[in-house]
Amino acid sequence: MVSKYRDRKAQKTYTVVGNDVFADPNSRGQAKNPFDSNVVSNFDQMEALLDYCFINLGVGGEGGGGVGHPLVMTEAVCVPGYNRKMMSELLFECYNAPSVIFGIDSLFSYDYNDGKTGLVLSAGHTATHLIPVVEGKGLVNLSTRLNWGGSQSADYMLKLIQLKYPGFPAKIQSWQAEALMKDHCYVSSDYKEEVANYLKPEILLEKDRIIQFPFTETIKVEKSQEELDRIAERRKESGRKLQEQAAKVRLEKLIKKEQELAFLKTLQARQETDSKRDFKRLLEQNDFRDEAALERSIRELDKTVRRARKQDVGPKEEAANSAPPSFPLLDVPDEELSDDSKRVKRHQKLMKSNHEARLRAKAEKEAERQRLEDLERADAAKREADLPAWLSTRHAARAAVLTKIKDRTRLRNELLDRKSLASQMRMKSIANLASDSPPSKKRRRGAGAPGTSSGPGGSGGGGGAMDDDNFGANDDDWSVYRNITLGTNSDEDEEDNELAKELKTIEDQLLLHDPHFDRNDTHEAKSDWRASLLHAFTRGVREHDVDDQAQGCQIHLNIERIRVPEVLFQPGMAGLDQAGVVEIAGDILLQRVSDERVRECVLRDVFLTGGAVAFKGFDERVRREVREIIPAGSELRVRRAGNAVLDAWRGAARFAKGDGAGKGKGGGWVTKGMWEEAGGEYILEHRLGNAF
Amino acid sequence: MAPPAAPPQTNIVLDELDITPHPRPFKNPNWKPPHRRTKTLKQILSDATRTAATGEGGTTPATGPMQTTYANIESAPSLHPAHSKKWCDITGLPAKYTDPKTKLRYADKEVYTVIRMLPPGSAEKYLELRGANVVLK
Repeated sequence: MVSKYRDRKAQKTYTVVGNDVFADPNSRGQAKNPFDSNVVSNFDQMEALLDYCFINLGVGGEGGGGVGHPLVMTEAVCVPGYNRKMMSELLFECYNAPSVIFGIDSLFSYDYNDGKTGLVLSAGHTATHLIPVVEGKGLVNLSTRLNWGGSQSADYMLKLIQLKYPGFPAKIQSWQAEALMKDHCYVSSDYKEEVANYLKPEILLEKDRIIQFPFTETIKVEKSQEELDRIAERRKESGRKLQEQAAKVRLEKLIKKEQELAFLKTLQARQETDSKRDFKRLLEQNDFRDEAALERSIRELDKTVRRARKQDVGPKEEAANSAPPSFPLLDVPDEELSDDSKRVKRHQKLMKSNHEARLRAKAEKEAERQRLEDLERADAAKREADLPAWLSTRHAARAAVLTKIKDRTRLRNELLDRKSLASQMRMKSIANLASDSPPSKKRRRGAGAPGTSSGPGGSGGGGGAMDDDNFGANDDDWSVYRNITLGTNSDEDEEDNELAKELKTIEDQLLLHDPHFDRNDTHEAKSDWRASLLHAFTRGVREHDVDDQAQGCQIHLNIERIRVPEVLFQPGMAGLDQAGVVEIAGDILLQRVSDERVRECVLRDVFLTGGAVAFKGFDERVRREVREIIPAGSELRVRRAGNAVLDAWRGAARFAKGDGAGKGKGGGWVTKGMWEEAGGEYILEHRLGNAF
Repeated sequence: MAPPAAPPQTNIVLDELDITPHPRPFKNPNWKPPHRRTKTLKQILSDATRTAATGEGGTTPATGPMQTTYANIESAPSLHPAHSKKWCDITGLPAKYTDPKTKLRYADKEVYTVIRMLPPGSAEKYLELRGANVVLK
């Protein structure tokens, strides 16, 4: 990594190389990699890189300017001529190297590990190579490259995590993803089998890795128990007071209404006794047009009184249960009473009507209860008569409630999406409401019938299209306002609660009576996190607490642990249309190496090197799968480099000392003179390098 | 003067790491880098095939029936039937189904509900991971 940039503040150009670029955010942002895939493409950066190496090595150079040492360079397998030309030019011209040798890193590593004949599998940073080696010489023309390496794996890991946790509070850096990959990934010995069972709780418990990202705890002010109690008490107290007040007001209203009703009834009764004219005058006095109006108002009042009775009479139930109180003063005419007792009488009058109202209400309630009981009994009778039919109706009811719930959530989700049909309907409703001009004739005809105005979304057009004051006649018309308000309002929550309650009762009944319906079938059990595959995938084996900051900043690595390294074996998983390493190995061993004797020798030493083979289980997997494709009974040995990352360098160093002793033609060294003679792409073939 | 004190602070580390002013005795003082020496791998490869096709690469002696090049050592597409196995795009589990709308593969009903509720754009990201996304050019 090279970062070269000009700091405007300091008026100075910085060149920072290697891991140093991560020291400063500025340099990190400017950092570039001189490599494109596995070949060098940016030679300016390459030059800075070499400068950095020589500076840190403390190369003093000779008088004329030059490194003064022979150089060993590694290069990619079958590197294009252009790259070698540029590299040679750089080394010979810029650094005045006396002689250079190019070789392949994985072959150096193999050589260092004393390999003579075998198959080298080198899983590098950007590409993976397989090179057969026979008697110490790499057969480059038989080698194969797979365009997948450590950097792609890390990238894959990063993308997987980002998609798994779309709303993750912290930004996951690529170096973090790489570290996660190195620390937690391993190669599964039997991927298909292992992945299928990965999310089973007992396995997940063992294999799930939880990564905690830094977070800031928001401290909630903890109230002491005493305080909480006091607050609760106060709230309860005020609630009770309010309830009492409301009950009182309601009762008073009820009494008033009842009195009115009684008065109107007497009025009606006088119809029979009074003459027609008198009665008419009486009606006019009381603001009624005719008998029908009177009757109507009586009916209405009766209805409201009944309704009020039904909902009222909560807290004072027990008072009504006691023996009916007596109201002795009521029968005494006013004239015989003193002022004081008149007041008492008035009070008693009130109390009496109060009491009577309560009694009536109680009777109503009783009737209601009776009705419900009857319903239930009928239901039970139906059940006993024909259980399957009853069950099917109940199941149908349950399904209906479930679809209702589902529809609601779907609608809500759709409203969040600006482009969805539901949102567009909503916008249309708003536009209709906002426009003053009456809708066009055409539209009115289309949506005029009240029936069409029902249904979510559709009511906007229907309600608005009806002639002026008819709006509101249909209850669904009002839902237009609900349709245009967004977000969660208490109204919707209430309906949700009601639906949930309904579902619960139906399911309880089913649990009780349907032998095929058990706990696990209920909606509750199904939406339980324990049964959820995705919960296991994203949140592991424990319940997830939404409010917990620490849990919000956690990453659970489970399937990724084997999914990321698996790409080397199944490149198709990451969209790479190439064969996996084992298939390539099989191709090389069985098709390209024609000599059977050589094949046997090669099989005896399958050598793994490069950073990616550091995954645990890599060698076992290769051993297992290669064994599956080779002829039965063949001897197979798979081994890993002593140090998969550094052995290439060590091998190169040893090679320079050993083979470089000859210095002449045999070693493969290209001297400056030869380079000037033969051109930039020229190399001498040697056993660990590319072919010319 | 507090503000000017801050920038040198951050620069101390960088000054230490900066190799710009460092003497380079190992370098040829007369060397001038050639212009336009940065080529992407794609350019390099297409240039190489062009010279090979026109026969300009006269300096390369044929070592076999076919020259091995960077481009042709690339591994071929898999022919093994087992490797065309389908995995769930969301979870990585074995996938039995494909969503006809987004073309995402999924493992079971629950994952499907998630696919239905994916925010716009993220289905493409999942497909991109598998290299199956549609790229408009």
